[in-house]
Amino acid sequence: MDQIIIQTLHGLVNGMVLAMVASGLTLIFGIMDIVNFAHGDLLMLGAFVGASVLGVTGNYWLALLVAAVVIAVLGARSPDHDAAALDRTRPADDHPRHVRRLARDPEVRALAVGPVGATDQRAGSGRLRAVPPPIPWYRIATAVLAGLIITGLWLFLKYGKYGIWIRATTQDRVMAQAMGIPVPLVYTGVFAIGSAMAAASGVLFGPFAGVTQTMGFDFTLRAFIVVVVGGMGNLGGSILASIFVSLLESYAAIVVSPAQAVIVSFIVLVLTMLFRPTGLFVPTPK
Amino acid sequence: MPPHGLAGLGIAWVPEERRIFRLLTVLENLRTGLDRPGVTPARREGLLEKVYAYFPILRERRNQAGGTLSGGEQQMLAIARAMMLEPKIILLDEPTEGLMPRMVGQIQEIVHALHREGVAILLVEQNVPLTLDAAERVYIMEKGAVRHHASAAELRADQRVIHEYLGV
Repeated sequence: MDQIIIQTLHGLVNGMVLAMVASGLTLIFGIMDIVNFAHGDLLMLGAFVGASVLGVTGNYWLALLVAAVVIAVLGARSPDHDAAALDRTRPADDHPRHVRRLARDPEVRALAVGPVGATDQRAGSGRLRAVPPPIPWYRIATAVLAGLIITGLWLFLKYGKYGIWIRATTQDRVMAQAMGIPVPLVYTGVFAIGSAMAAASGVLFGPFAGVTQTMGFDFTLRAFIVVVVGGMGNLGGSILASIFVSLLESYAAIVVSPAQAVIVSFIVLVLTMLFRPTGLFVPTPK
Repeated sequence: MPPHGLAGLGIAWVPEERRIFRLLTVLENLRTGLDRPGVTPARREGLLEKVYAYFPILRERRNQAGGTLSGGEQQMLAIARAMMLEPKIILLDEPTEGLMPRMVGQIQEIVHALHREGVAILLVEQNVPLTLDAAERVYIMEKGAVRHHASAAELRADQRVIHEYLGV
């Protein structure tokens, strides 16, 4: 019984972690049909910026803020989401063709290693232990903070003026323009928000994931799975899928080793693609 | 001039396929045209009240997703949404397509009402009686070229042209 409660908590915490990474990814995909492979690298850079600021000032909140702002600017300013260029290259049908990368990954990682120095702090990580360790409180606090940030994003999208602009542009870019919504500005804003979410995730989860140059990759892989399972571009679906998949993995870890439990998310992905390719948690098709 | 700048010039578009934001509520659909610089809260209220007076059903359905509306209701919403921009001219593309006759009458009334307010309307329509009733000037087009143009009054008085070009 205790084990189930602990695993439920684990699942929820991991789910919030994942939801935060996935929400930035799905937001950018939803509005621009871009599969943003740079997301993991932005997360990693955010973690490095955050760790640096934390190291200098010792202020966690300042680290979170600075990382989010710096990476938001970086993400928004990167030239390859130029709206006009996108419109030119965008195919007429509704399928995504754009895959975006910040740069060649090794270069970005080298960039991060330069000033901080690479130390893999993941040695001895709890992942491979047969019995999951008890939940440290800071993990729960982190999950709560992630939940608050996601709720904030959701409220912003639901009720804010710019949230309506973003959702309208997501659904029909041409009509949004006809209504006078400055779509290029919306694109830039969405990239900034998505990048800031990635950076904030990096700062939040760095302490227990380990701040390494490759940390983004682990998150991105799982985030892509839940984004597909939740219905691509659908924020609520991605969040639910994050929690759902993480819970399943946690419960599976009771029976098999945690390393094998990771397979569960791939099984969910395959089943989703086979039987409900639009996603598990999409609103009723209209 | 970027495409989104056209709305600021006072040009509003009601597309043929209506293009309601399906996952946005009716009110949110209207808000896409209201969240622009220079619209005071009082003016927003005024504009909303005006379209609710024209289309009471939209007030009833204001918190419902646009995609759940019927075809006629979506057409009303598309027109109402365009009115939110307080346009000088509305491009109205086949507003009665696929609508039941009662709805056609209502759309006709709204075209007249907009006209009385001094909004110019560029109406593209295959429904000849409606067009002759609503328009001041009529251009008959065939295969993308203007074949004939005259005032609506002339055409109403002399139906031969209509018969010749439209075979009705």
